[in-house]
Amino acid sequence: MRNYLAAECYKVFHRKYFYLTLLAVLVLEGLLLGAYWLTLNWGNPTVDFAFAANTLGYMLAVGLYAPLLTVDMVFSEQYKNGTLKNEVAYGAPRVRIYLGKLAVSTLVSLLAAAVMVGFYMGGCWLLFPHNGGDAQAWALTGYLLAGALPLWLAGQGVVMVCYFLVRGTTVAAFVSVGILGLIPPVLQAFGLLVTPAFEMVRQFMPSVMLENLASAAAGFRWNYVGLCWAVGLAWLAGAVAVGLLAFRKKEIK
Amino acid sequence: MTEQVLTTQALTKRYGAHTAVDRVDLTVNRGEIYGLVGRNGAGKTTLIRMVTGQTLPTGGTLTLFGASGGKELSAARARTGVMVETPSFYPYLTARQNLEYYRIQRGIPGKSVVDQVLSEVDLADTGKKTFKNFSLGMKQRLGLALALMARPDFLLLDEPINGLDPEGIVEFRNLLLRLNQERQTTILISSHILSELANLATCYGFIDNGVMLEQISARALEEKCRACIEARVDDASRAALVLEKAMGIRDYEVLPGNVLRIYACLDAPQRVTQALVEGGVAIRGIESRGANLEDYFLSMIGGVRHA
Repeated sequence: MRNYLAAECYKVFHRKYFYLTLLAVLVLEGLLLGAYWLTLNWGNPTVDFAFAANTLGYMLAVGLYAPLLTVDMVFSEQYKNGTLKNEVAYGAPRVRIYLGKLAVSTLVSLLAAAVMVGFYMGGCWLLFPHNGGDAQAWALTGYLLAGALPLWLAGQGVVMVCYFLVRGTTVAAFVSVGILGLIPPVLQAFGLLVTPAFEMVRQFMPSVMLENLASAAAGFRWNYVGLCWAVGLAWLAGAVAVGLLAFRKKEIK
Repeated sequence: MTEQVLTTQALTKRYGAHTAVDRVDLTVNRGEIYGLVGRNGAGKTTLIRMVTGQTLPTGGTLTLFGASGGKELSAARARTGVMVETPSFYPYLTARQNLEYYRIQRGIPGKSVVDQVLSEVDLADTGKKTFKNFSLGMKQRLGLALALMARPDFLLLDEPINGLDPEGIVEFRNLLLRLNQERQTTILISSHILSELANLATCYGFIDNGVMLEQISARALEEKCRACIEARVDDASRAALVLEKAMGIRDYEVLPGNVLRIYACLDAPQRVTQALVEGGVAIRGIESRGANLEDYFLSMIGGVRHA
């Protein structure tokens, strides 16, 4: 497994995709920080470190959909390129292939998240005045990340299973977005029109839990963070189980 | 005792109502170059895919280096080098990067292995050119490099010379022969370019419509296909004596049904006919015979179809 992980890392970090994507996101973050900085200089007194740091909560959903890119970097259109046969034919167990790619894509996601959050928070720290709410802002950031992390892992698992089971990358991405982003509003509608049970189910969707986490962040509900971990890991485990079961017998061309 | 590298028993693959491979029994012994002959769609690739684990059999058993399932079979597959259909690599990586990726993944020690195998297939100078910009021949060579990288005991090659230029085909053939002779690498090679197989194979398996029609050694096939004059006469033994006496022919074979095969004087069948007539032998039919691999295969599948 160690060789497999090392090879996947070699592949990801020897192409421009990872670096260019990260650069693009950092440029966007830079633009956001620049916009805050401009409003500050135009006399907006509410912009300080705590204010800018707290807006991180609104960006948590990015982490849920980021696997569309990080899984793509690792999976590398294996069905289109026909490269899976090179692994299977050499006797690499399919469980190792699946879990290896999941582990490396998760690693890439975490690395990208660390760079993005670090860049954003570092920018906030350097650019904006510190008016006394710094400790609270850092605590809030830690709280949000602690709750968001397992939900991002859930997203990672869902996207990975879609990429493994759906041959076309574009279709796989659509299916992933459908599961993560479109099912919640459908459940909400069913909750209103059919039975409130659908609304209860909706509360365990990763995207909804991310919203709830951010909207009630000021309350520091650590038991909700615990629920995020339980639900996030359950989603991840479920997705992995489905993926392994289906990939076990999948014909590789 | 001959070591069996690959054996299949009643190996079957069905896709719904279509049977792609139908109860195939196949044996590849150590040191052989096994030519798998069949038309397009005959089941060659499906058979190889089952051996490589790309697709699971619907029925039957498969034994590779004595392993027939589970982790042992996975470990046995690590002793193989495989090239199935079009070689596939990551388009955005160079030849060296692609091989380095698989070298790391397979735990093959020593970075120099990559350069060594690239030299063997004449791709050492491709530099920063990425796989997507390779010609078909270069892709084939890289596929072969991957198959050879781990110094396999058993090479499975499916249509490996597609896209190679004539010079490349000769180099490729020589490379396979060298591997087979110097390292005792066992090779299973499928192709519909039969003249090329004829230059390599020590054993053949003929497959059609998913069914293994015949397995035969190259020597036995050569014997079967040997050029001769075949005469159907009233008394084959007497005809043989007549020819011995009249023309001094001793290279012949008397077959059941009063059939006489004469392996001499092939350029003068009329003289043979004359000698038989003058010796009082009644001739029911006489013809020049002989076949190459292509003729043999076509006669086996019953007509002229594209092999």
